Amino acid sequence: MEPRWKRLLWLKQEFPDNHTDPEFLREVSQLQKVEQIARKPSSSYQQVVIDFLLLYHRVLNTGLMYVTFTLLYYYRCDPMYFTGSLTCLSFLAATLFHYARMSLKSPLIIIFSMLVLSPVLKSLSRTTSSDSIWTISGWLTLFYVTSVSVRSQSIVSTNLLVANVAVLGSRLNSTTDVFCFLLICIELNVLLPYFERSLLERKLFIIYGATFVANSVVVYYFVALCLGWIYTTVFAFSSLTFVFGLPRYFLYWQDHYCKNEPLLSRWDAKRPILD
Amino acid sequence: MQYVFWPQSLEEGKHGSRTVVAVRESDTGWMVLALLEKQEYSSLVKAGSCEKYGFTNIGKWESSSGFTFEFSKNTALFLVKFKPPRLNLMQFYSLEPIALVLPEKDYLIGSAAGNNHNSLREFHKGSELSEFGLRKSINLINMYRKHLHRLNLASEKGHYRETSQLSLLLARGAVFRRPVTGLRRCAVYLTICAHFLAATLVTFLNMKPLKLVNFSSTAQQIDLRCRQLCYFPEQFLRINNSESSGSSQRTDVKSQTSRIRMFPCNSYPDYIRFYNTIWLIANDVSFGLSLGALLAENQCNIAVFLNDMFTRCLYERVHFVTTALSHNPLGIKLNGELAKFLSDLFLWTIDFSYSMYIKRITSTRCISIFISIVSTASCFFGVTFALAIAVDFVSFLTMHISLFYFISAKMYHWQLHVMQTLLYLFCGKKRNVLRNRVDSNLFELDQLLMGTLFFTILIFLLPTFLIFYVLFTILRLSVLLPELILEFVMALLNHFPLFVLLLRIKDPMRIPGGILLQPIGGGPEFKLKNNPLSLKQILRPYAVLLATMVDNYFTLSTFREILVGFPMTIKRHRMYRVLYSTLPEVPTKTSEVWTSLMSFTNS
Repeated sequence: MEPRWKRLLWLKQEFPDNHTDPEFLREVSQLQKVEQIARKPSSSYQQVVIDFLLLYHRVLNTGLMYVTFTLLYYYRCDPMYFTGSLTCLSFLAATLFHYARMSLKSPLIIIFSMLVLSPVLKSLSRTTSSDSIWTISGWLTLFYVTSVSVRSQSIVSTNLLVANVAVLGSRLNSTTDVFCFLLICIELNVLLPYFERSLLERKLFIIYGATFVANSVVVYYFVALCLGWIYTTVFAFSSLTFVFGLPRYFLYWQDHYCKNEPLLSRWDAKRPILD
Repeated sequence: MQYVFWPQSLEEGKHGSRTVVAVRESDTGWMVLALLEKQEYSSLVKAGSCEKYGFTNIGKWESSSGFTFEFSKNTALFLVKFKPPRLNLMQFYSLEPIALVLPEKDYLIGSAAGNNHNSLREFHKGSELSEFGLRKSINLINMYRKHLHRLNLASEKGHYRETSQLSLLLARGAVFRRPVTGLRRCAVYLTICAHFLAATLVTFLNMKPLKLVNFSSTAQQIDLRCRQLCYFPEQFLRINNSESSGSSQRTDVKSQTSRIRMFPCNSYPDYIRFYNTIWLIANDVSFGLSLGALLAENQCNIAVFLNDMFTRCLYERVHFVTTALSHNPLGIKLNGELAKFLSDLFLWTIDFSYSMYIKRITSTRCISIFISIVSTASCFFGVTFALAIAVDFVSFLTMHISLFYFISAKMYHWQLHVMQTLLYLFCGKKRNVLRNRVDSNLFELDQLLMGTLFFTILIFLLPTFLIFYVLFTILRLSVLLPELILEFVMALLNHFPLFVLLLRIKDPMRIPGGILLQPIGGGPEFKLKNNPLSLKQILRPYAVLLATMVDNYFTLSTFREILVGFPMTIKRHRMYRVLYSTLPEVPTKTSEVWTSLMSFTNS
């Protein structure tokens, strides 16, 4: 049997210098076929914008958590009615949409365990300074957004979110506040995305659009209320750039620099791996 | 190839030409016994003792030219000079180091003898010594003086003198027999009683569900002394039996040529061990007398001092530190509620134990009573008992600190364990016990939420647990250290190879650790030398003990265990097992000792 050519420099092989491996030619022709069939329509501008929009929506959702926190921590709002109505609403939605996975047991367990743990949480970070808590929360949010952008629905992202909520909740003043904050955040950040995803699956785009608009309105109104119009404008422009401008660059990058193709990367020039 | 073993100082004071008389057994070299005149040798031959005992003429010796070998021509000759060992002074040559520990316990000290065996075997292979039977030759050399004695008897034709000696001995025995037998009987009964008591005590102390030996060093000390007491009759019998057989050898040479082959050095290690133990006990008691006197003299001062120290160290300091922990010490951010709870718990225990027993026990009166007890024990049973009681006293008084340590270690360990499990949950993984690995797992939403909430809470509580754990670990260590030092002193006093060390100085021939063949002057002449046991070999059990201690307390794995919160304990029994290597694992039964003693007295 004839020895096969190997793509290794340190081997002395019985091949001429200008040897071209037949495998290479075959794979290149395959690659061209693949590019013609699959690659072009997969990354159209519209699709990428929609993907970015979804991610943007999740980030806005996360923003709702800070909105709630600020309302409770700085403005000392009474969260009871809001929590009650939101919980009723989510139960209503659950019964309306017949979620098979949402039995009655699991929400009851969650609610009661949070009721038990909220006094402990309240006293948890009493001796720690607020700055450290803000820093920890900031990092946790960053990790959360990163994990969401990698995979929209994963265990790690949910856990990061809950940890973030627990850390923030430990700053609140009363046990009721802590409990309500936990419940609201879980409903807004775990149940709401779940609900929205099921809307998308059922192709109920109008309702989804309505939730999206409502979400944006709440966040923007709150930012305007707290930080003023200048910040709101900057925020709006940056989010517009993110949703509509960045996809262009993404496509450009995917066309020219991305080496995600398994066939391409196999024959490309490689960097040496040194110990 | 022939080997001739030539005693040093044989030629001294001899002139002219002599006949070299030697003896050998199968597979050994020739051992030269004497340089005889021609007439002497011929008279020996005439008497027929040459054939009987195997005395052979192997050559000639001239004062001018030295030894010429004539027994068999055309063979290479190696002359090995040796200093005749005196068996009655317990000197002998041996290929292996003399066993200071019991052979069945050799594995405990990592067997230095085993290594020597190997090197010896290599030596055998290298120089093809196996064919001439080095071991047998060494045995023959050890018997040199007996063979020489026989030769002298034969040449003097002193048969009748021998018998008269025998009858004299017998007569003397008959005179003293009756009262001696009575005394012997008494001694035997006493010994059996003592042995029975000691054996019962050992069994009681080692009884399974509550192994007292593992808890208290006093129990350990009693156990050690009882074991030694149980082993004494056995050792005594072994030593004396071999002596009696030796004396019988001396008297009836005629009949038993085979008995002379029996190696008499077998009981010497027993002899050394026996007297080492006796000496150590005597030492112990004499130290104990002086310590007891000292303690009794300064009883009041010591009591006041100890009272002051115990109150300060065991109550006030601990109280102060535990209180300080609940007020954010050194600016460390502890969880206020938890720290308060833990410190209240420990403070309550401290107050309780102080008012319950520490206060009463450490009162000046109690301590002075205790000191008088210790000094009496020290006078009667030796300083080791005093030390053992002191160790037990300290460990009893510091019980609350040990308790805190175990509680905080347990809590800390649990916390770490739970946190590890929850961390797996955080990453969506789960430990698979069946395959002993971590697998991915799909969790329900409620599991995730609760797990993460608990995880966050535990992370915030960790520093509080950690600081309590660190504090009580330090306290526990500071209590353990003096105990360890005291126990090490006890180990020294109990097991120090004093007798062997003195023998090493006095007469190294008695503790052979092998042999050494030194070439003389380049020719085929060698000098056989005794290689006495080195200090390293003698102190080997201590080296092993130290290594075990270092292994147990000063390694990375121990540090890791402390870090993870595994409670550290003194595995007293396992550690000092090395030093018990001169005692059998299970004391012999009283009935066996009885039968052997009776047979000894009746013989």
